[in-house]
Parts: sequence; C-alpha cells; structure tokens
Amino acid sequence: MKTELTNQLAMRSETPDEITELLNEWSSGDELALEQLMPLVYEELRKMANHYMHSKDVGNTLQPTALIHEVYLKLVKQEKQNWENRTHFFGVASKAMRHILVDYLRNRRYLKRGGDVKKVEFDESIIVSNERAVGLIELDEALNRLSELHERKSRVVELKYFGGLSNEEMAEVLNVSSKTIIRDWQFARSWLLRELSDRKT
Amino acid sequence: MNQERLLKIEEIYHDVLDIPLEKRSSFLADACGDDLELLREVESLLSFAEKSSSIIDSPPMDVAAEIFSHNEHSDIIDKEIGHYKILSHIGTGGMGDVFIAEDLKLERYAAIKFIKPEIAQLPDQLRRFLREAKTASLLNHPNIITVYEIGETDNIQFIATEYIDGKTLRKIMSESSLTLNETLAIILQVATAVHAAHTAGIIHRDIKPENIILREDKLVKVLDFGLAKLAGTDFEKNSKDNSLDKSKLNPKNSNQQLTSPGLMMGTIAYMSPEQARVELIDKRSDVWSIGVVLYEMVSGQKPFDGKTAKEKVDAILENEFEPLGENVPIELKKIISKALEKDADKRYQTAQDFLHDINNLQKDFAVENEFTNDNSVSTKKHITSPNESRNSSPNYLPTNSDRFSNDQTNSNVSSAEYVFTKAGKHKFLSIGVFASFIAALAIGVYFYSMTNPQTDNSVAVMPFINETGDPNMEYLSDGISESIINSLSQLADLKVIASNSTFQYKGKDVQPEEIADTLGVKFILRGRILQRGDTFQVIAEMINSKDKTKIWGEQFDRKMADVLNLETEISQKIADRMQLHLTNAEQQKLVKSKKINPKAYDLLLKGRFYQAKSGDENSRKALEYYNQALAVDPNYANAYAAIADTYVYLRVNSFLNPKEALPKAKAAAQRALELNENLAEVHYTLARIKTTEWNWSEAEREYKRAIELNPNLASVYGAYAFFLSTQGRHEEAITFIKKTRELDPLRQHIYPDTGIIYYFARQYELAEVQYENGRELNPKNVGILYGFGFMAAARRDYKEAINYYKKVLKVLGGKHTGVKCYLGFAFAKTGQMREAGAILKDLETGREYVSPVELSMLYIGLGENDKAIASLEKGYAEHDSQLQFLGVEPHFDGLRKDPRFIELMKRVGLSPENYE
Repeated sequence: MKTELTNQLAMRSETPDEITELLNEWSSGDELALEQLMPLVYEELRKMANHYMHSKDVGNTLQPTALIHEVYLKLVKQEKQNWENRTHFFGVASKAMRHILVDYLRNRRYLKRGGDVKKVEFDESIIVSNERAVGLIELDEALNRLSELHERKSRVVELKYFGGLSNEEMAEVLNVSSKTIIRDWQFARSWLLRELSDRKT
Repeated sequence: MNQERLLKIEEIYHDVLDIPLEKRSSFLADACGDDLELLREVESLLSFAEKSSSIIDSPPMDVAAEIFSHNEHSDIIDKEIGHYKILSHIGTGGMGDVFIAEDLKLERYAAIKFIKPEIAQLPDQLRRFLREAKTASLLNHPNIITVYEIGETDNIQFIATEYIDGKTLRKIMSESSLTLNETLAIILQVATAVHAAHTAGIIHRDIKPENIILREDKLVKVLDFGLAKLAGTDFEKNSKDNSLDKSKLNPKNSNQQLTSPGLMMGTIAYMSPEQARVELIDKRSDVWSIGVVLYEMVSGQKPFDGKTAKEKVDAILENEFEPLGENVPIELKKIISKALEKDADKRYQTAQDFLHDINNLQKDFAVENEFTNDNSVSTKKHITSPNESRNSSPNYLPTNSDRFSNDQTNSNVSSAEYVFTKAGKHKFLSIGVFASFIAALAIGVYFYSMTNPQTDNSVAVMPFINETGDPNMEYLSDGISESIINSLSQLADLKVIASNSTFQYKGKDVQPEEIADTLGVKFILRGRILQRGDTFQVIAEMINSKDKTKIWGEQFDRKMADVLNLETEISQKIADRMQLHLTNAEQQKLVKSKKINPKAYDLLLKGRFYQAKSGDENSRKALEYYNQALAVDPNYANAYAAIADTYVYLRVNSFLNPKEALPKAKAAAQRALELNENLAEVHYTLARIKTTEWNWSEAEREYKRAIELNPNLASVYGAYAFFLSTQGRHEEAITFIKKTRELDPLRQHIYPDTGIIYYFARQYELAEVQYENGRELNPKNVGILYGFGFMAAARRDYKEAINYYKKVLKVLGGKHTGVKCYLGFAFAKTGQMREAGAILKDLETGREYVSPVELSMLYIGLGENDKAIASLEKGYAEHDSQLQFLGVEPHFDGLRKDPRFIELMKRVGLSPENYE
C-alpha cells in the first residue's frame, strides 16, 4: 500500500519533465514523441475536466481551451513554461481532446446501434443530441480524409476546433504565417462542410 | 483528387474570395478555362464559404461537458466531502452526478448528488429550490425520499439524501412487463407522494420513471421534488403563483430554451402541454406526468413521442395518444384519458382525485394489494452492504430502512405548514417527553415479547435513527435507544441485547431477521426521531423475526406545551399494560424514569454520548455535562452514577492519578446509592473500585447486586467473569463470560476475553480455539496476538512467542512496556540473554512507566528470583493493579513455591490453595 503510493508520487513528480522533453522532441519533428505524449495529456485532461465538473468555481471552464491550459500548467514545470512550449502543448492536447470527444461519441453511437437503445435514449446525462453527435463523428471522418489531401489544413481545424487555439498560436505550432492559417481554415471549413453535406444527400 | 489538384482548387478559391462579388464569375471562368470539373469544384466549395453550420461553428464544448460529467469519477471516489466519504458513482441526474457515500458522522449510507456548476451558480434560485426539496423531504412521507442535508464544502454544493436500495421504474419496465396489480400499486404510491407534496404547495415538475424507485419490498420512493427547476426542465417563472399569467409568456424565449443544448433531453416526454408551452404550471401538470408514466407502464410506450425535441413537443401539444389495447380495462383507460387531457381544466384537478379513481379501480378488481406497504418487512433477503448493491444495480441505489411505512401512511401528511426549525431553546422541555416514551416503548416491547405464546423473550433494541436533520440531535436518538435498553434490561425474564452489539448496526441496512439471527433474539425494536418545528415525533415498531410480522408500531407526536398531558397519557398506557404483565416491583422500576427532570436528563444523555466515544478528553467533557445535570437536579442519582463510572474509567486507563480518581469515584457512587439504591450500574462501578482495592469479597457482593438489579448487563457479566477468573474460580468465570457473549454477541474483545479466561484456567486448547475464532474477525487485535504469544509460551515454543509479542509491539507502536516484559521473558527462555538483558535495561532506565509486577516476570525469566520478589514488593507498595493476577498468571509459576511469594499473595487477599 505504502509502496504503491510512493511510486505514484514519484511518477507524478517526474511527469512534467518528461512532458517538456517530449514536447521538445515532438516540436523538433519526432512523431514518436507525440505517441508517448498523448496518453499522458489525455489522462490529465480527463482528470482536470472531471475536477472542474465538481467545482462550482468554473463557470465556463469546460471550454476545451481553458481546460487544456489548466492541464498544461499542471503538467509542465514552472521554469519550463514559455509561450512556445505552451503552444506546442496545446497542439498535442488538441489532438488528445479530439480523440477523447470523438471516441466517446462513437462509443455512444455504437451503444445505440448495438441494440442497447434504452441506455442512451433515457440517459439523463445526455447533453449532446444524436444529430450533433453523428455530425461530429462525420466531421472527424472528413478531417481524416482532409489530412490525406493536406495534412496541415486538418491540423488547423483540429487546433482551432478542438483546442481553441488562436491564429497566432496555430502559426507557432505549425510554423507558418498567421495569414496561411486564416486561409487554411477558410478553405478547410468550406471543404469539410461540403463533405458533410455530400454525406447527407 | 491529389494534393496538387487540391492546391490548385484552393488557389482559385481564395483568389475568387479576394475579389468583389460582381467580378467573381467572370474571373472564375477565366481561371478554370475549359476544366469544367475544376470550375464545379471551386464553385461548390465557394457555395459553402458563407454558409453557417451548427456543427463546425460551435466548438464541441457540449461534448466535453457531457463526457466529463458522465464518465470519470476516479478522482472523487474515496474522497471525503464534509463528513461524507464518497464510495462510488451510481448515476447521473439532471442536477449532476450521484454517488453513494458513507456518512462518517452518523455512520450510515447516503446518496450524494453534486450540483452541476452551471446550476450552482444561481445562488438565490438555488437556495429557494433547495429549500423546496428540503420541505418536501420534511413531509416525512414514506414515498418521498428523505433529504438529509444540503451542503457545501470546498466550493462543491451537494445534496445528501436517504440511500435507497432499489431499482428505478425505468429499469423495472425495461426488465419485465408489469402486471395490472403491480402497475396500480406503484402508481398509487407515486400519486400519494405527489398529492402529499401538493398539499404542501410543492409541485414536482419532473415526474418520470427515472425519478421513481422501487425498493425490493415494493415501497415506492419518489425522488427530486422541486429539483426539476434546477435541472432546467422547467421554465415557469414563479412556482408560488398558480394562476396562469399569459402576459409573462415569451414564445421567442421558449423557442430558444427548447433548442439550447440538451438540458431537457429525455424528460420532454413527460411534460404537460402547459410545461411544453413554457407556461406557468400548477399541480395539474404533475397529474399529467403521472398519466404519462401510467400509460407507459400499461402499454410499454410513451403516449407522446418523437425523434427530436421539437417532434416530441409537437406530439404533446397536438397529437392524440394511441388508444390502449383491448385487454386494458375500460376504467383504467378512462383514468388515463382524464389524466392526459391537454386542457388542464378538463384533467383531474388534483392528484387526490386521480388517486381516488385508482383506488376504486383497485377495489373493483379486488386486487390483492401485494405491492402496498402494509407489511414493510420483506421476506426476501436484502442486500446488506452497499458494496454488493453497487454491483447489483447500476441505478440510483440507496437503501436504508424498511421502516414504519405503515405508520407514516396513516399519519396525516397534510399538515404541511410546519416549519423546520432547530430544536433551540425549548429542547430540554421535550426531553421529558422522551423519558416517557422510553417507558412506554419499554412497556410495549415487554408486553409483546411476553404475551406472544411462542416467545423466547428476547429483544434487540436497534439504535434509533436521527432524522431531525440536525446531527447535533444524535445524542438524543442514541440516548433513547440506550435508555430503552437500560429500562428493559431490568426485567428479569427478558433477554435484552447490549447496546454495544445493536449499535454496530447503526446506519446499516440489514434485514431484521438477519439481525435477529446474528444476535440470537426473536424480537427487533427499531425507531426513529423526527422534528417538526416544536414537535418531536418518535416512531417505533417491533418486529417478530420469526414470522416477519410487525407486531407493534406506534407514532408519538408531541408538542412541548403538551408535556403535562403527555405524562398523564403515557402513565395511563403504562398502567394498562403492566397490570397484565409485570410485577409491582418491575412496574415501579419502569415508571421511575418518568419522574426525572427533563433538562437534567438531556444533559445526562449528552454526557453519555461523549463518554461512549471514550478517551480522556471525551470523558472530561462527559463529566462536565454530568455536573451540569447535577446543577439542574442535585438529586439526580443517574448523574452521580455516571460520574463514578467515568472516574473509574479515567483511573483504569491511567488518564488520572488513582489518588485523585478513586476518592471521587467512590464519593459519587456513594451519593448515587443514597439517592437510589437500585441502580445496577453504581454497584458495578463499586465492584470495580473494590477490585482495585483488593477487597475481593465486597467486590463480589457488588457484582452480585448489580446482576440482581439488572440481569441483562453484558459488561457486568464480563467484568465479573474476569474477576472470578483471577480468583481461580474458572468454571464460574466461563459460565459468566458465555453469558456476556449471549447478551452482546458482537462484543469487540469477546474472543480474547474468553481466551484469557481459559488461559488462566490452563485450558490451553480451549483458549486457542477462542484465539483462532478471534483471528478470523481481526487478526491484528492486540488481545489475539498476545493470546497466541501466551499459547506458544505455554507450549514452551518461545521462538513463536517472540514472533507474536513482536507483532503486539508493532501494533502498539513499539511503546508498550508490558509486552516488553513478556518478550524479555521469552528471549531469556530461548537463551537469548543479550536481547533479554537489553530489554531489561531499556525498561529499568526508560522514562515510561513499567508495572513492577510485570517487570518481575522478566526477572523470573532471567532466573533472578530475588529481584523478582523485590519488584513484586514494589508493586505492592504502589498498589499495582496487576497484582490481581498473582494467583493465575502462568508466568509466576516459577515463583509459586517461594514462601515470600505465598506470603505476598496472602497480603493481597488471595488464598494460594484456591489456585491448585
């Protein structure tokens, strides 16, 4: 029991450094670093979000942006915190957020289709309508197709939509100008909307 | 399409957007030339440039909200929120997450709902709504869930309610179809609850199958009264204003609310038309909702449904429900139709009217009312631990108590105007009421246990449940149960289980027959206390565990002003019952408790409450209360008795110098006896005092007198058994320790206590059986570990003994000098003289007090008999209480033939010939 606790504490104190390192690796182009980062951020994001759900101080902190920021502050040690680091972190966290949200909805949808209709239909905690849930899942699928055509554009959508990053921040993460970000978003948005409407018709 | 093509398309797309609208089409034609596909691509994309989209333009905050309010609770499980320890997540309601929690203060389970932050942010409204919820709970209706507390801690707001072990109607419907009988019985209870709330001016607003829980005993509980407003399912502006004020309606607003994400999903189906139109609603809206539930129970479908919120609302407002099948009785169809009248004026005007028709229907069909709660004692085995029940039902669980439903159903719930106030300054007045209750309850129990021809005259009085909503009243509910136990204990032919055992069930939901089985009794008495303004209500019932019937139940409602009348009334009851069944002496014993000063009694209960918590500080606090009680009533024998007992406690546990404690204990005991010679507990206290004075004959006399006065005091039997054991009267000791266990089966140290008696009797095999049994319950119990050490030492397996003594030392934090003496003895016996010597040095030079008598054992182990004798003499000079074991302690066996030892025994008053 006691050892277990000590291990956990040790892990915790090491995580921030690890995160910073992984962030650095990732921003210098190591995609493997992202794979390692994701579960850490993912877990923290969940915890943080849950924490806020149970505290009345939050107001609208359930905005993914604010949430990600909190997680960042928690995971990355003070002296390592800088604007650059933060934005890269947001880059990772947006992806984590996207996975969390969409996986959840997929799972929910699966339940509905899988025959356990009641479970979903009568669950009082359901906030997101099924139409919107389906829309979001389709958006995610469309984003995957977009990334095959133009990776950066799909990243822009991911960062803005799931991570709430500003144009400037996205420019930093993706190492392009803000103007490019604006153009990417505009085009990607139209492209995605057309994809979604094609699906429907 | 490849990336190159995409970039080409994008280039033209942006170029087009950069130029004025009127020039775009010609530019586009130029840019694409004869690549018609390119043209189509760009055109189609451009057509989406200005389009808004609910998907892409609103970031998925709602999903985040849903997922995180829904899934993960790992970081709150096991946390303590106020005095609640969160055990597990059991559901998510409109208000927020629901957890099962352990109330650490009151030792019961509770359901805790955390209030969603967005709801908690409306403090004024929140307070009003919560008050309503609380008020509904205060109606104390068996079909309305009890709200324990509305609290806030660490910025988290929560509602703590009764924890009900059951299934939601939703789940029940999904698992099986209901018979007509079942359906009527359920809906009847729902309507009863709603009617009760209506009478008090509370509208539920969110009646639906998720808010209706059925316990296994078929008792229905309706949840979340008044809370619907918080969850946003209700939009009316002023609940107190029942008139329809159309001017306040704002159709635009209503539209907006209906499309706002999700707050009403899943509950629209049960909304009345006026609710769906966002009009002001009144109680007739609840009648509609009950109608919807009833329709669904009968047909398996909702009467008004749709795929989207809008479709559902339209169905409620416009559509007729599908007619019910041929097999549904015409009368039931009529009832449903009338409940589901879209025009509220044509509907049942009250829940009572609806209830009336359902009732008649039930009678017409001569429905055997298996679902109602006339007999609240279920024959099915209940889930007894929340851990188990958590697994068995993912729904809103909750349990607690199948209690008193009958009494409550009959009680008048319409007097809803009572205001909840804390007991306040009149509290003490009410205590007299309780004193009388106790007498009455005691008589009741006695009466029923005696008159039943197949009785085996045994009863367990369970701790009464404090449902006043005020944790400070806990001393009162505890005190009442204790007092009833004390009162009943005096009756010679009745076996009454000690409070030590019954209080282990406090806050736990265990079926009476199970309790009866464990405690070895036939009857179970249980009760609870409520407070409504200046009125206290004690509800009690007695259950025959054999045939699971409630054989007696009574509700005592008393206003403080009526205390005098009440005394007369209850005296009458006492007289009635005693004439038949009690001897005169016993009558007197029971009536006596009525003549006490209520305020003094209140202070006595408070003192006992602290004394029961034990420890130095609590005991001193208890003494304060006892002295206050004496200030009120200087002739209060029980207060003196309690003071004496507390001083002995302080002395025995070395919290107080014997020279200070004993004279005070004696003086108080003396005074208590002058005032009332018949107090068993005083004789018990005196017996303990006499024991410490080595006045064995007087000690025994006091023990005998205590037992004579109160044949049901487990502690007295236990202490007497121990006394007899040290006197070398082993057979008697064993008889009495068995009696202790019979009266207090869950006594904490019963196994080691029994073990040591066998050990002193040198019946090691039997002692070992006791220790083995005790180990199963608690392998770390010091007495058990000690016992195994003694067993090993008795077998001369000193290595093993060392192991056990070391364990004892570890459990005690390495600080106990007594066990070090045994350890040193064992080391010496294995030849580990250096270790033994180290221990001796440690004990001789250490600062901690060492009993010279225990130290002498170490000398014996080391073979230094002279030093052992010297140490014993030192113990004699200090009046070391350990000397009482001189005759029986096996470690002294090496000295027994020494004339100095024999002489010392005689001086202590023990005859060596008794120990052969």
